[in-house]
This record gives sequence, C-alpha cells and structure tokens, in this order.
Amino acid sequence: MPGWQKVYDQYKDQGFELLSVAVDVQGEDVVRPYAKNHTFTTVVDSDNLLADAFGFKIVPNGIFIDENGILRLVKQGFRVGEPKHLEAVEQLIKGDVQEVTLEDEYHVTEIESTVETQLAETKFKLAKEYLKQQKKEQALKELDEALLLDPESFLIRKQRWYIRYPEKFSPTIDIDWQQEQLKKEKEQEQAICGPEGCVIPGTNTKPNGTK
Amino acid sequence: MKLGEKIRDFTLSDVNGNSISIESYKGKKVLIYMWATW
Repeated sequence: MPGWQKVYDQYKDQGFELLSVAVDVQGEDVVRPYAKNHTFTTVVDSDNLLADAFGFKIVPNGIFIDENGILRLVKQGFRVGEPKHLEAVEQLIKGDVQEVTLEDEYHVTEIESTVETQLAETKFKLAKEYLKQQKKEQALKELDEALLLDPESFLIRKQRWYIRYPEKFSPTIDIDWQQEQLKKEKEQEQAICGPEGCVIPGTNTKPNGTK
Repeated sequence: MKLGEKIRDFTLSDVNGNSISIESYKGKKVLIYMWATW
C-alpha cells in the first residue's frame, strides 16, 4: 500500500492517524509480510468483526472517525487510487467538511442481521478455529456452508478461495480465474438454492433450514 | 452504525500480537482502512 503510506506521511503531524485492518481468517502470519514496510499500525481482523458490524460484503473499505470517535465517512469499495475517495479523506483531515457521503454501489446502509447471516458468522468463526488446529478440510466445509447462508459475502467467498487455491493468489492475484470461478460457483449455487432458500449438501435440510 | 454516531469500540491484535483498541485513538482523526491480501 505505498499510496496510503504517502498520505500518512503527509498528514500525520496534523492530528491524523491511519489504522490498517487486514482481513484474514488465517491470522497474523499471513499478514505480517505485507505490513512490515508501513510506519502506521496494522491489525488483523480474523473474525470479520468490522465487516459484520458495518455490513461490508467486500474489501477494501474505508471508515473515517473524528477526534471524538464519531463516524464521518463509511465507504464500501474504498481506494487511495480513487480521486474522490482520497479527496474525501483530505477534506475531513483539514476540517473543510464535517462528514462525507460517497455513493455506495453495493447498497449496504442498514445491517440486516438475519438468522442466516448470524449462522454464517458463527460458521466463519468455527472455520477459524479449525484452521488454528490445522484442520483445513473441516474449515473449508464450514466456509462452504457459511457462504450458502450469506452468498453475497465476498469476504467469505474469497477467503475460501485463498485457502483452497493459494496458487491463484501468488505471486499475483489471478483475476481471470476469480471471474471464472465465481461464474461456476454461482451456477452451482443456483442449483442448490431455489427461490425458497438453500439446501446444505449432505444434510436433510430443506430450503430455509427446516427438516 | 450511521454517520454522526460514535463508532462501537473494538480491539484487534497487531501483527506482533499486541492489543490495539479504537478507543486509544481518541483525540485523533482516524482513517480505518480495511483491506486483504486476497
């Protein structure tokens, strides 16, 4: 993230701080190599804490709070390379504006915490515990089921890919493969998930989780 | 959480295992940037 380091260096003497949050169920070992060249703090969110609190379905995202911890900007799909996004941050730092609303093409403004998304969160956390115990296949099973419960979540979908197909993320992220994979998975999900909801393979559940 | 509301406090660990809470940033304007290596 050379872009953010530059912004940080420019404004850190003006009461500005940057907290970098790396989302990774696999934890700090995976994140550390990417964080070592930054002078700002990087923390690891391995439980999807922030994503669940704000209803984010993708990364990267930007949250700006003022000196009193008041939310002044919340943007899903936030990038330093987007002139409007960078401008919003600079205006907030300088005090030109009190808050900024950027258009959210993903339309998440209210968090709808349904039974399904809560169950997805629980399965996600269970997957994390399995990973800590080196039980990769069991973790992937939980992530597969979590995705069926929250199919819009790219945090679940992509982290699953990262664990199952690490070679598609290194040395660079294979975006073409991701698009193909997404198409394949969506077709499979349509087959399992009818208009009344999803059936979890290998169980007796009918759509909507009834037996 | 909406604009104009106070952010809920949260605590996460940095890459060296130290606990960092958002409360500790009081007094500063903070950009919280969520990203991923994937």
